[in-house]
Amino acid sequence: MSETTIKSVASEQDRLIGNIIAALFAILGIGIIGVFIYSVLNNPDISEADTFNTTILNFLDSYGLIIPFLVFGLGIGFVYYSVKLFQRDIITSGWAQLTMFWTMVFSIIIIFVHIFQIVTTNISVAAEDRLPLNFTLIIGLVVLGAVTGAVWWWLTKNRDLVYDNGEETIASRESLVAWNLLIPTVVILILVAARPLERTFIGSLTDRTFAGSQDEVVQFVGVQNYTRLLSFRLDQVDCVRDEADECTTRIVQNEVETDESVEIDLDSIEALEPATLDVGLDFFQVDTLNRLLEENESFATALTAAVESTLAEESEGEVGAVEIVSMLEGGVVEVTVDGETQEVTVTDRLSTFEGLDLSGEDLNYVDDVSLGGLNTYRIRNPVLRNELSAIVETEFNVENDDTIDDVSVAGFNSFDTIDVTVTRLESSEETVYQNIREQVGEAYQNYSRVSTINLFGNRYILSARDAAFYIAVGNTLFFTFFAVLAELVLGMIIAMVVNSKFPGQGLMRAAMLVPWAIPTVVSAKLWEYMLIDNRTGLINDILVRFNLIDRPIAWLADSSTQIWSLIFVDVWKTTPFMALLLLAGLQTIPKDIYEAADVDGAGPVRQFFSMTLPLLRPTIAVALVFRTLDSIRAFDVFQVLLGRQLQSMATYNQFVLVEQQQFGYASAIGVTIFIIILIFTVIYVRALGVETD
Amino acid sequence: MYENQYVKIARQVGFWILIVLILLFTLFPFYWAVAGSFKSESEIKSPPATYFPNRVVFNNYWGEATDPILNQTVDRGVFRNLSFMRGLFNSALVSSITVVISLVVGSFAAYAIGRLKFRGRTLMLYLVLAMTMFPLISILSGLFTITRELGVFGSLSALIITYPIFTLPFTVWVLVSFFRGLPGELEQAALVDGATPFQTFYMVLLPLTAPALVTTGLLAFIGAWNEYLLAVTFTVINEEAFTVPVAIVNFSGSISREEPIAEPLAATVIVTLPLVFLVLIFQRRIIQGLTAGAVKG
Repeated sequence: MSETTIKSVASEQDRLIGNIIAALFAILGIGIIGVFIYSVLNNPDISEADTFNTTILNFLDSYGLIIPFLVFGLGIGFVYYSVKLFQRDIITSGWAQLTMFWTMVFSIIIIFVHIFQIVTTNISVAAEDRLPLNFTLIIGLVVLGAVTGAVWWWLTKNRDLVYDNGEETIASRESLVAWNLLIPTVVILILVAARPLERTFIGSLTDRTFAGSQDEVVQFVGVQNYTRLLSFRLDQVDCVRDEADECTTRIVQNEVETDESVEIDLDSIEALEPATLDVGLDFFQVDTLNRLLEENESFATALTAAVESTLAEESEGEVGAVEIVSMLEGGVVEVTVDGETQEVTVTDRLSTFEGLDLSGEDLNYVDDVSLGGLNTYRIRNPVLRNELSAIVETEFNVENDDTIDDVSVAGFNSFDTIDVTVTRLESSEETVYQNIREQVGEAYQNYSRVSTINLFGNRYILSARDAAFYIAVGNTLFFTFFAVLAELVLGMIIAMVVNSKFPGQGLMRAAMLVPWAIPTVVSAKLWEYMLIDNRTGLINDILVRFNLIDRPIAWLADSSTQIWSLIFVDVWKTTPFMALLLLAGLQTIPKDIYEAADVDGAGPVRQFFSMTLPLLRPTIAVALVFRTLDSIRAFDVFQVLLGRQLQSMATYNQFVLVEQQQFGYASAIGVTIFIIILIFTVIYVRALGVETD
Repeated sequence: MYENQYVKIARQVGFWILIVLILLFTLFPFYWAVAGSFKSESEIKSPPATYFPNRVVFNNYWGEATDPILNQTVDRGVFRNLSFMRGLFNSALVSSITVVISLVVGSFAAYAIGRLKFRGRTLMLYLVLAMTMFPLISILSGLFTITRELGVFGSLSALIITYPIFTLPFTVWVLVSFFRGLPGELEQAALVDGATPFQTFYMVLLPLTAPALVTTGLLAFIGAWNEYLLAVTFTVINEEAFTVPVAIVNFSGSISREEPIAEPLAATVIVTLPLVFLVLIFQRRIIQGLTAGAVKG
């Protein structure tokens, strides 16, 4: 064969090196397996284990399945290479070259990572805490890198000279290049995906924790973690029965508060009679007092006298010519004394202003604009307070009405009505149920209640050994369902709007990407401030401004609004993204079918349901799958806004792992979440008929 | 005739009202953050809320404040906040390295899967697709142990090592669809000229994929920049390795015993602004990339 090709013939020396390389592969192959077995046998956890089960467990715990599989695969592969290389097989030589190249590359990378790690760790650490360089590792890797590098270099130069058995086809070359390019991806995926997945699965069968010391004894606990995690029971709770075997009931009275108003006649209230209107100037609004000052001469005279006497008291002597300028807040009068402006606080009460006729018209000044004054007066004057209460009690016939528990005056609403809060008692009959813990007895020991369900007059209690997990699952599913639903509907509307041609469409689409680009954590933080429980928060301020709510709501503290707030934040963040996906789908629908439908007289609603929606189905399906799977693993929003108050599956898992340091149990939760998500994916793909490429 | 005109106008008005509503819904919170970052701490904490700063102040970004408890002047503002600035640096470092790794490794794999024929190609494709939907939380405990065993737990290296798990499959997936869209004549021409497949890749095809590389790189960057679960889990023991999201959540003000609002708002503006700019500049590409990753899948 060599005569027919134009290839130059390899020298004897090259052939010798070729055989040495073949031998090297055999040594490498056997070496890897040998070193692996040696290290397994010398691992104290494995060699000193008492039982067979512990041996297996400790082996799996330290090495898993992927590493032994790789080691034996590579080892046997190398021996096979070696045999093939001795036969001077050209295709094998290509794979040998690939192996050498990547071994060299990874040796170098590991050395760099190690040095980078040491350097970055040591930058800010005190001298005695610094990590040393692992020289054995580095020297080993340098030697390995050098040898493999040299072999790779030699193979690149002389491969097709020395190994002349067989022929390289385009297909085999392509395959070689492809795997050369894929190796980094495969290695990364093994390191950060396959190995962790395997560790999680194996870990979920152990009771490993991180709380203890380094050499804790890890026990293989089988499916115990899963039993603890998933055990639940649904009990029907019996009612407490009397002698006649009937369910006993008790009357429960619930207080129901309503806001009402009562009409009153100001003139009929004795406490407001001029003679008894015993209030200071500071009770009334400045406007009122200034009007009084302007229009009622006797008040002006009396006030001047009061100011003069106050000044005289302060200076203990002569006071110049006093002229009143105006009234200020809080009973302060601005005056000029001999031309100099001064502020004087008059503490006199209104009733002491002699000559001021507070009957009739003058009182009306007071009434007219001083609702605030009246309310303050009500609070400070016990006579008025009692009088108002008496009026209200008569109005509601409190003495003879058993349903009314309490009526309290909230304050003047206008001059002829006051607001009252009426507390009524509504009694209802309620069956008395047994305590579930007592009813079930011993078997209930480890359980706690997840939720209570009243169905067809029976009461059921769902309990679980890990109630927190079940609650987290419930929260997550609730969150996912409503968030994704709202996103789909809103996203659809937005996509339809933006789909029509209008100037600035590009800008509009860019603007819609903004919420998507904001980190979830940041958007959660931002919404935390906007949802603050007083009017400094945007949401409460807007709602109060437009009279949609009476007083600010504690969105994130109130258990009834918590999850809705989270859903809202999530909807804000992801709806624009959903809209963009749907928009991309909408734009693939040809415009002329709508023109045809217009000609046929189909209305816009009909067009939407019988054309747009079916044509958009694949896009909607994919968008739904993505969003649902995203929501089920929601972590950031829950963690930042509610922390431990309300947990999702992901935050619960992270909490168990990081805070409680229960590695085994957290792994079981992780696997369970994985299975839940898998089930969802399968259901979705089946139900919506998502076509995979 | 006239009625039609009115209906038309009413429709136009309704349409623009909808547009304005959508814009308010998507952009107002961000405006709120920007406005809040220029308010004084006392203004932002006194109800009712103001929609424009009464007095524009800059000390949430860079300035000074008097600490009533220590009774001395202290630095104030996010640019003077050491832990926040370190967070920015950490995030930039981790995200850039992640992007480089994902692009280099990912474009290799995408070329192999998208353009070359070999056994195991379909398997690799499905593996990558499965990985893009993989719930990170499920293997959190596995990653946790692996970072501990590698001795990188609590350091930035832990993040650099683990971030490709969510950026790499996505990068590969988007680039594969891009490589498949390129005309086949290019490679044939290159082959005729005697180029090896690898030369064809980096001399002919890779320059053509530059736009796709920019898009996927950007998406990977945003993904890594915004990542929180791994960051908070792996850096929990080391405040110096906090990335920006973790730093913002643990934001503490300059004044003792004060829980600031205006300063964190300034921080959110700083973190978001680069992303908003990138998004505005590359919006067409990003939308293409996202829809390639999602709609075609």
